Amino acid sequence: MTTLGQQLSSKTKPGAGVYLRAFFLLLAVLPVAGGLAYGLAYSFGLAGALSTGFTLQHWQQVWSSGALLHSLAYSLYIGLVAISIATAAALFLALYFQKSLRSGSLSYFLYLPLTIPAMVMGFLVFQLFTKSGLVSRVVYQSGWISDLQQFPSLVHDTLSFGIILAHVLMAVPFLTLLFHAIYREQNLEPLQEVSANLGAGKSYFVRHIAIPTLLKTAAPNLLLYFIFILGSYEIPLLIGSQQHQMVSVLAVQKFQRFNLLDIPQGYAISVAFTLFVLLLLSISFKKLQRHA
Amino acid sequence: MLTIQNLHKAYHTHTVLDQVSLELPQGQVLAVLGRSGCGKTTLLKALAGLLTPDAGSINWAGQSMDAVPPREREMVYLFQEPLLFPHLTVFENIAYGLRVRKEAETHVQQKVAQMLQELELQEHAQKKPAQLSGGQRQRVAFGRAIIFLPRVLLLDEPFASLDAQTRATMQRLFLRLARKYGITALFVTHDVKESLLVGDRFAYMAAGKLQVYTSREAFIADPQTGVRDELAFWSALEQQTPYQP
Repeated sequence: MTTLGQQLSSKTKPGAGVYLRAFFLLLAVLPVAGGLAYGLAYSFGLAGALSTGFTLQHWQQVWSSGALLHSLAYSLYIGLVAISIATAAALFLALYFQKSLRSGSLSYFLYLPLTIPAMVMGFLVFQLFTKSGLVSRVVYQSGWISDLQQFPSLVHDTLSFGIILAHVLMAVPFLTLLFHAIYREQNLEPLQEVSANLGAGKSYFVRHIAIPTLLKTAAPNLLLYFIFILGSYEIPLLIGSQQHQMVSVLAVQKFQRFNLLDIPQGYAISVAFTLFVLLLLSISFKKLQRHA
Repeated sequence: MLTIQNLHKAYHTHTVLDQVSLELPQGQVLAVLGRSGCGKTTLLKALAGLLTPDAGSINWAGQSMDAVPPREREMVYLFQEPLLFPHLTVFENIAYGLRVRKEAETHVQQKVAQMLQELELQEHAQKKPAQLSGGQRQRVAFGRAIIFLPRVLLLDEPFASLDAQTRATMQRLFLRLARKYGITALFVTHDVKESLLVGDRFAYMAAGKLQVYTSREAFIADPQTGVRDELAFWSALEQQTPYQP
């Protein structure tokens, strides 16, 4: 490199770094931080059409009604059950259908559901599992029930079977492809040969090597998908029960009510949920880093 | 005694193992010298049960191994890469074969501690493979392979990726442990010096054919092994005369 080139590179490199960081902050951090700050200001009565000046009243209302905690607990239940079932199913497919996944025949069936939006998946589950849905009619026609009303409530039900099923159907293809990619990237195929050579059967290898390796490597993605389910909106709106509401549904209801005084509560719920997610992420990533 | 008779393996029209036969007494190391692509790895994988030969037989102590699956064969193949289990510590990697065999916890602790000492890895027992150097990883793989005293150890150029100094250390370690535990092994290498260093018996492999020599002298004397060329090179270097292959 010439002297002039060296001078130029020494001058431009640190400068470019600062600009890149500033550009990243502008694109990624600023909108989120700005939204959070505005939501916080709104929930404290400092912004909005009906702002009255600083007050803790909206937070107190949200807290004392118990709606936020109830819906947070309900969202956690949905998220945990859905991600657990989806992970188990995806592990089974990734571990026992390796050849089909490699040859592409199973991959085709997995890529297809990935293109289905959440709202369509919600409708699909609704069409299949309501009391007058397709499954109910098939069961009725086969004589297992004498009346369509005898079909169990699987949509709008208290246990949220429908919401969980819709999320599982959406998550399984994504997680299967993720596990399959990790399986190859972590050399699990040659490791299985090593394991067999050392005297272990397939099930021993699966339990002691494959599953721990896959789960550990996929942990950040599983956590992010869990958070995605926690904050899901369309599916619980379509097929959720009347008794329980997931956090996003609760917040949007507060925003869209005719009573404009409820809007600060919607912001308080959103801000509280965001802080909860950030706390969850920071604790989890610290733990993951410690175990890495 | 390990006995292999007329082992044959071909991929389409390409013969990889051509009527390979050998006898190896228990506790001895057969050094197999050969260039890349001569069929050495296929021979070892066939012995380990990881590949099915087209014809021929493999016997251990008069007992046929042909129908025995890899996990029951107790013929451990040591890959060129260490291939350690990434989420397990050094201790648990070495203990793997013992845990598979459901040995008592006290035995596992005792045997692994002893092996760690042999491998000079005591202070690394709780580290993960990613925290080790290439030589250390290869030592762990070696310890993991021999801790349950398999019938035969099959080493596929295990030290090829190591630097010269680490390689020499590993060769000494292998020799010491092979003698101590009476390990029966096939040690495949493309390095003339390494083959002479580790072998009790010697063989040369080319184009799928294996030639087993009756003595070290016969191995050195055969021009195709390249030992004489190597000796001539070093001797010319010592006398400072130009070497002419």
